Amino acid sequence: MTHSESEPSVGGEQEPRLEARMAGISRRTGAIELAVELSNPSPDRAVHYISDLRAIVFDDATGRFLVRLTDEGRELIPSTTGALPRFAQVDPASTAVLSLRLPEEIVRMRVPEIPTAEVELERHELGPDAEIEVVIGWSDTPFYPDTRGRRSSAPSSAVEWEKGQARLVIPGGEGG
Amino acid sequence: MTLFIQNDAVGAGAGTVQPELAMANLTVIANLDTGIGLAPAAGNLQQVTYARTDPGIPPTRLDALVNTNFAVNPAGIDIIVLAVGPNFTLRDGTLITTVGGTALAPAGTTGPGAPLNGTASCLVIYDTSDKGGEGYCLARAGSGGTLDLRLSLPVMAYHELSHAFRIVTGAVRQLTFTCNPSSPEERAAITDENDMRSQLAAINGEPVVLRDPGNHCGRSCGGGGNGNCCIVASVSSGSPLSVEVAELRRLRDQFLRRSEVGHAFFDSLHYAYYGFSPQVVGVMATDLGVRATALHGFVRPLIRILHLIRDHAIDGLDPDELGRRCVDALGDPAETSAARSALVRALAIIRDRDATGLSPAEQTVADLLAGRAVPDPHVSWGLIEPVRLYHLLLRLVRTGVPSADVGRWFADAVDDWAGNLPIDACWGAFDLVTARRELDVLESTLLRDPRPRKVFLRRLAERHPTATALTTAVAERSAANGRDATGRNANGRNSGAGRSEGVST
Repeated sequence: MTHSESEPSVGGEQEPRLEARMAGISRRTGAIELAVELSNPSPDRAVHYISDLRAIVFDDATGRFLVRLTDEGRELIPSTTGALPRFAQVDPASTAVLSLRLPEEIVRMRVPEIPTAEVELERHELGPDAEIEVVIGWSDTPFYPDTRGRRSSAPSSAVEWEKGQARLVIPGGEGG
Repeated sequence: MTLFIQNDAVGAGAGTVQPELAMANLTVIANLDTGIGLAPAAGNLQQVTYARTDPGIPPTRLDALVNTNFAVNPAGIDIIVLAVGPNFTLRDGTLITTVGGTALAPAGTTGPGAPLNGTASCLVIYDTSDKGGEGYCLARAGSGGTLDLRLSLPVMAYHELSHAFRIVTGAVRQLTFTCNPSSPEERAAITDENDMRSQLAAINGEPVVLRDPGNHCGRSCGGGGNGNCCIVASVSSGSPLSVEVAELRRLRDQFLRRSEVGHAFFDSLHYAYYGFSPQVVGVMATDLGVRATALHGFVRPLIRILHLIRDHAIDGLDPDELGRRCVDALGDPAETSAARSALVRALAIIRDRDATGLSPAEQTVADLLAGRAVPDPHVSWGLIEPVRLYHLLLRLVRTGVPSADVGRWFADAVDDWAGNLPIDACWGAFDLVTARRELDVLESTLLRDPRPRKVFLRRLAERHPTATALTTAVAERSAANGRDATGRNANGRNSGAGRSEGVST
């Protein structure tokens, strides 16, 4: 069983929003292929969404992986602000299938309470028993980088552009 | 003691960092100055040493990084360079492939990225996979913001070292979430980066192309662009700047034609290709026989056949002219028997791992290809099938068949091949406008003929039955294709008899 949640919309059923459900999952050497079916119930407005992986967060407490197609929560650090996400859209009253390729494992840098002399890394495998949650940022307008900087009211980053998030949970044991 | 390379990592083991690539990139930054070196490893760190002789800007800056005690770390380890693979993530989950590289201030300080840093040193971290083969494309100076300037590894490393320099000297400028215009900190790093681009252009004997310091935006090159390409061809031909590599790059980009489907195809092809090609290159590095077989039996035949496929699929030559080109390209009596035997040997390695008479090195390559290359539909369709087609065409040409017959046979064989173009997942995500546009591109190139078009549309409908926009576009084209096929058959186009499977030469 998988389930999908979307941020509550203000205007009811006719408002554009993005709904996600799992359409398939398979594994091949080094990668997990995840197909996500995305639906837009609005009869007259397209929904735009981030279509590439931005982050994979491993929750040490629960062992759950959060696969993020959103820049929300990203730290402001050198070099990272320039790399724009890819965007795609779902037409009004339409369904699309987004394919994501996840690594079978991530290598994450440890951040202990007391800094270490050397870098310490840890591997986390997205095995068949791992629970995976996919979060997809979307908006009812396309994203254009604002060339006028902070003087205008247009969103200057994908975080500001985002109006909602579609969520999909793949419970442990259904990971292909 | 200031600049170090991480040569392994506690907790994750070998293979998670690439110290040899880090050192190679620092050597390029030093403008190949022989004064750069490495001290013996201490734990999992190796100190970089540098007795500079080169007066250039990047070597001078590297000299400052290596030979200054910045005193940010009591142990003297001020900066650590970490060259990582594509599955590396920061503590907040950010995948390195979404940023390319970064520099983190030491833990416990107020500098940028300190909460993500587990060490008391400034960390320079960068992706060595070139975004899994897709490449990073940035704003070219003077282009009005066109994101088509490729980022090479030495340039990426130098950009991050520029940030690191200001971090360890306490001179970091303002950072913002906006990429256009650049924040003051990114503008400074890009200005430094351009010194490295100038130095690299001089090394390669190429014109200097700079990045726009006012624009820090970037995106995936999507498998296109003019960057890294074809490592098997690079090594077998002896240089990434060889005629063979340039030809493959040009052909790739002609077929790519900036379509979404083309990008997705090369995205998948690169992903699979880089799963086995580094190991193949490793074998070639120690076995000249395998290297020669790769060049004469695979790389050069692939280039020739892709030219001929382009003549048919892109330029739409008639069978007579196409046949003449085939005969001209493959009928050269001066071609050595060694080249022909290399082709046979290459096909044996690719297609029959149990073939007798393979050397241990060839057997290693055959096992790699059988496990990782042949089963992949993109590698099979894009790299292996064309070489098999070349072999069949060569045999046909050498029997002395009239060129017009050769042309007809080849056109049919290419059409059969084209209809089996792998269908990438991107099709399912297209809106209606994009789906129509992508089909337009294919129907004006690989799928000119109604027969492969019909095959492809059927496969497309079967692959994505629930994608609304695609279903609509396929239905439109299938109806049009039925009408078109009737007309084309009336014009005498081959209806299928004697196609490539039936050839026995």
